[in-house]
Amino acid sequence: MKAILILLSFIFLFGNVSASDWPQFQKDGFHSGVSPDQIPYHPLILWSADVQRVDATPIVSSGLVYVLAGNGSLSAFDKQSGGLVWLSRMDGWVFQTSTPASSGKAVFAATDSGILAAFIAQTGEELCNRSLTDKRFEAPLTYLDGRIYLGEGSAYGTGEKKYICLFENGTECWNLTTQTKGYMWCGACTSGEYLIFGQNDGKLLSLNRSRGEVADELNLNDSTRISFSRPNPGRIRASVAYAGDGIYTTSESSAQEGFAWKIGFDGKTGRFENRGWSAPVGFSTSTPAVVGDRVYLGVGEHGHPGALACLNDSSGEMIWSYPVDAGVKSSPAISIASKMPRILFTTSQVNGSVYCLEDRGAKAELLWKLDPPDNGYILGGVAISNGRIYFGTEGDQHYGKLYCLGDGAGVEGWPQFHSNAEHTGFSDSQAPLSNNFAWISRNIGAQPGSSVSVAEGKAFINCVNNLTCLDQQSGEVLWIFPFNASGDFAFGFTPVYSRERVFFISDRTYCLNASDGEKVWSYALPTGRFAVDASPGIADGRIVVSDWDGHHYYCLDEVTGKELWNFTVDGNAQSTPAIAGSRVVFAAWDWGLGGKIYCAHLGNGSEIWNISTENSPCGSAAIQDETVYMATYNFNGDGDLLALSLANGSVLWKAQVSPTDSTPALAGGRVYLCGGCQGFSELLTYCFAASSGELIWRTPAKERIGDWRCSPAYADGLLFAGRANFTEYGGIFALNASNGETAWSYPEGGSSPAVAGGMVFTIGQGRVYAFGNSRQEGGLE
Amino acid sequence: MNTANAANAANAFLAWVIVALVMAFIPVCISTESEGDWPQFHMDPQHKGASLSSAPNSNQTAWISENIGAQEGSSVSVAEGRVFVNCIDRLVCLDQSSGQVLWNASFRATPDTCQVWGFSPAYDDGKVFLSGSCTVCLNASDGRELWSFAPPTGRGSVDGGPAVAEGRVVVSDWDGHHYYCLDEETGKELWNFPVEGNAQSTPAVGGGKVIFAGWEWGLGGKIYGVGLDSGSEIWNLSTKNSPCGSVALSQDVAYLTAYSFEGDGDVMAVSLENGSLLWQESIIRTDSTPVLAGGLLYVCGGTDGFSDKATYCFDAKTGDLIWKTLEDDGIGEWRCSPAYADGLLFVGQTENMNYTALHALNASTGEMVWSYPAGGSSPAVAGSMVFTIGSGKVYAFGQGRNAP
Repeated sequence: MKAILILLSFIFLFGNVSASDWPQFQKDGFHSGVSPDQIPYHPLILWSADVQRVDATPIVSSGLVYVLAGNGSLSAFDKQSGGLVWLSRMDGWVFQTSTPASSGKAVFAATDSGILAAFIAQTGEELCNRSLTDKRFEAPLTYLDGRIYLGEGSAYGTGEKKYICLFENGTECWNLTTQTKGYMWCGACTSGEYLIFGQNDGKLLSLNRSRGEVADELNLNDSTRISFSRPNPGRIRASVAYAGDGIYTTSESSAQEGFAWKIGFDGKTGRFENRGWSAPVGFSTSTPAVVGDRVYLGVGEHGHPGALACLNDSSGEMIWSYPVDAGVKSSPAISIASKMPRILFTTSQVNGSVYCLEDRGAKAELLWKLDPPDNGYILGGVAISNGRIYFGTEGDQHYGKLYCLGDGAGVEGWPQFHSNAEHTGFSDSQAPLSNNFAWISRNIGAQPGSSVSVAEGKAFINCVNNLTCLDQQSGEVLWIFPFNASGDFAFGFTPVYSRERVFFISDRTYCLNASDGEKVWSYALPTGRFAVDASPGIADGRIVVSDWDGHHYYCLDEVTGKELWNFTVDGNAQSTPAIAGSRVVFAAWDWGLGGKIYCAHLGNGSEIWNISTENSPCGSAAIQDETVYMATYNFNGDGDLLALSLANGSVLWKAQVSPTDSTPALAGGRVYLCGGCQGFSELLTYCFAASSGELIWRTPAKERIGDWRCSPAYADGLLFAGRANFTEYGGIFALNASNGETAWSYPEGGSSPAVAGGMVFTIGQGRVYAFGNSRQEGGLE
Repeated sequence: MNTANAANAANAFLAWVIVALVMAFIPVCISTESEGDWPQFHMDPQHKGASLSSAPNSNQTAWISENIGAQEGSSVSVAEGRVFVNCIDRLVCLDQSSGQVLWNASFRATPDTCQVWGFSPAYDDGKVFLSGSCTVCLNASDGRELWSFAPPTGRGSVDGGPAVAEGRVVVSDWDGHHYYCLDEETGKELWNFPVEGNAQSTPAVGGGKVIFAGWEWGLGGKIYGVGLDSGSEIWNLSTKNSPCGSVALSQDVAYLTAYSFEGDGDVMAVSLENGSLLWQESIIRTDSTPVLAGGLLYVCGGTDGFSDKATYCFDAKTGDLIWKTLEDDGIGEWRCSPAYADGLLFVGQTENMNYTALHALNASTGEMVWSYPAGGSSPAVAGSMVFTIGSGKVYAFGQGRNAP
């Protein structure tokens, strides 16, 4: 009942908006900055839109994303498709930092020219437009209970300036005029009947919301009021957030110094109380967000290094601080959909980035960092809604972008070797229920043992000495890119797709345009050696590649191909590196010596752990739930399947398998693996329990399903595995993933399958086989 | 009509007396530059902003360039009958008489959003210098690169340009927090000087010293006097407001402005010998470099949307205000460094931070002599012509050196 009351009062206060909306600055009238929604784990730009320039955070309400451009135009985009729904112009100048607010029915926006306007949320029709100040509007709008609250800005220095309360039709309800520097970035939050906001002078005000009467005011340097006052608190240039029984904000006196504040607040009397703390975190204009007993905020001025800081809510002490190379002037947006809070923030610099951290208790772990493809400055923060996130950039005076990021795993595709950066071999696509093929290509010389990657409706194929791009639906050849092949390999590489580019390694690492196969960059491996049987791993704007008997893994910048770090291994570097969060796992092996599995830091290449293996780790790891699964080959008998702790490399379990380089597929708490080398050992496919290593099923040896080069793929309850025919393949099998029984098979193909968009792709005899959907022979045979 | 201080006759008369008195005691500056040139930012290594050239007495344009993407807020340099223009990511060389493009050379601009008005190119001895991500020396005749210097910090200059004097080029790297003195011929680093805060000045060179500043948000800043040969500090002076602009030097005084983000800023006179503060006056917030001419100091200030705008004339010796334009006229701007020639002060005007007009004021009274409804970015005077940038174009006024 209490929950329902809270929900009802929430709706009453903040209007006709859903819990997944982000209708104003920091989500709601408390400025919580916290969403119950998931955020992308594999961030992918789902759409972007040209917006003149964006300095404020977008808002999301009723299916639309609203963004205020530097020139004062307010646009509404469909939050799913990115299509422009409406655009309305207000008088604005160059620099809009007043985040708009939506009631669900109407959207309110204010500009640096002093305009405040309201529009019908779905159509953009103007409801009112008032010119209210010559002192600029620079603070987030707060919408509460049918009213809008906003202060005048910093123009003309100290003077008489107003904090204004307006009704939805734009008429004034009340105003408070005081002598102040102004309210730059000082958005108001609510607690009980009160409205609380800061002043640029370093002062907090509490007002009765309905009448505008001052209930309390507090100078942050007033030691007679608060025991944790500071003699020089500086300016408050942040909004106030309310959580629990206190309010939170930040202040800054210079690029070097500033504070985070928690101040006790009595929602019944509207008075500030001598409970709380001030923490010398450094320059901050960030509005803190509170989750449980932790307070998160950004630190750092433009042109200086910055950090995302996590403070103890009861003491203000620093729990952890995650340093980044630029100031974090915006406010964090937090998702509490996972076990631990996930924190999104932006860095204020040209070519700024969006970061996603997970709070791991004593420290933060970087889940991902995304550099949007434009070189824009990012001043605003991130809005979270329905599993997607939204933010904007300012490219220069006349150009900017609005971005929508979603989860790459949810997109129909199989972009990397074994599906994703973790190499789980898992797709959430549907899978064909029969062996009806959509098309079979002609013999294009496709590399046996390699796998196809699929993205943007295209399939990318390793054809030994050229890369061929086929149309996913028809199998038609779209483009061909020739390259130098070494000849010294068994199953070759799988092309890798990321952000409109395709990557592969031979004598060089190549980056091609996915659309036309044009070379974007190439990187010559410094040792002059070729990669063998390894593909690139890509995550977080970084691509990790190898040079086999050059004994190195290299991390390159995805955009430029510039080497970021390299890592020397003992033996042959043959893995396609697997990446999970900030960790990359790869191996090296040497004839007769077994080998080593390594875990390195993706950011700087430093070693986190390594373990030695008795047999040869010639293949690639798959990672899930903090566990690394990897097979090791034995040239004299059975090999091993290992489960290792991602944290420290300790062996969790180990199972004997027919010798293999296969990369395990991970789905539903199970580990699937193929093994066997025709003529030397039995061809088998296995299913183990991921937690214990217990064997669940195994295909009978007489069925000859499996191959040491074949990495199986899982989708829709089916496991797809191949049958070897010596160096070639002699069939693909769709097995019931729960018991290993054959659901369907096709007597050709069988090379490591890929599943995307309801289709299964596999290579054999130089051809590509595509199963599922409509049957056609696009392959001209 | 546009002089607040000379609004009544008594004050105007008093001003005249002061001007006359001051002028009588200040020796005429002797320039080593030809009166046909304006070779670097604010004319000379001392950045006095005053030319011995005659100046056009009407707003008749000699030519207006195409929109070549000229950097708003920067100034052109003029030498060898050529006009060198910062076009954000390329340097464009125009013919002084015709405005025709002679060559252009691309360079890598500093990718920082704080870059607001960029650098003004500097010319010396057949070479042109610019400062973006690197400091680059070009052949003035064809734009060929002769050398380039990448600051070891990896940071580029922001709004600070090169100064050239005595075989040296002095440049800055903004949030790299350094000034660098380079050999003019080779680009080799002779010394560097770390400062507190952002190194944003175009250094001024005079009397064997180089003067520049560093500033930081909320902390004000420091002005430094450094030996030109040694690179070692002779003095420094802390300022309450932020010295974001550049210094103008007389024989023994350094003049500069300090910006305030929260109200009025300052114009200051500092002893070149020991850095002591000689006088300081409150003016509308600005990064403008003062003009020194005839014992008077001219400066302008004001930021659209944040403050009023005005242009000022002070007695350089005492800091007494001689005249000031009316706030309502809106003449001047925080990025604009005015220029003096032939009894006229050239100063720009903006709307919404875009340059929209150039004004020629009577330097003695501040009264308007002529104006033109475009251009206005820090003007330069050379060979009886005035040059200013606006809306990506270069505007040239006057008959030019080839006129009869």
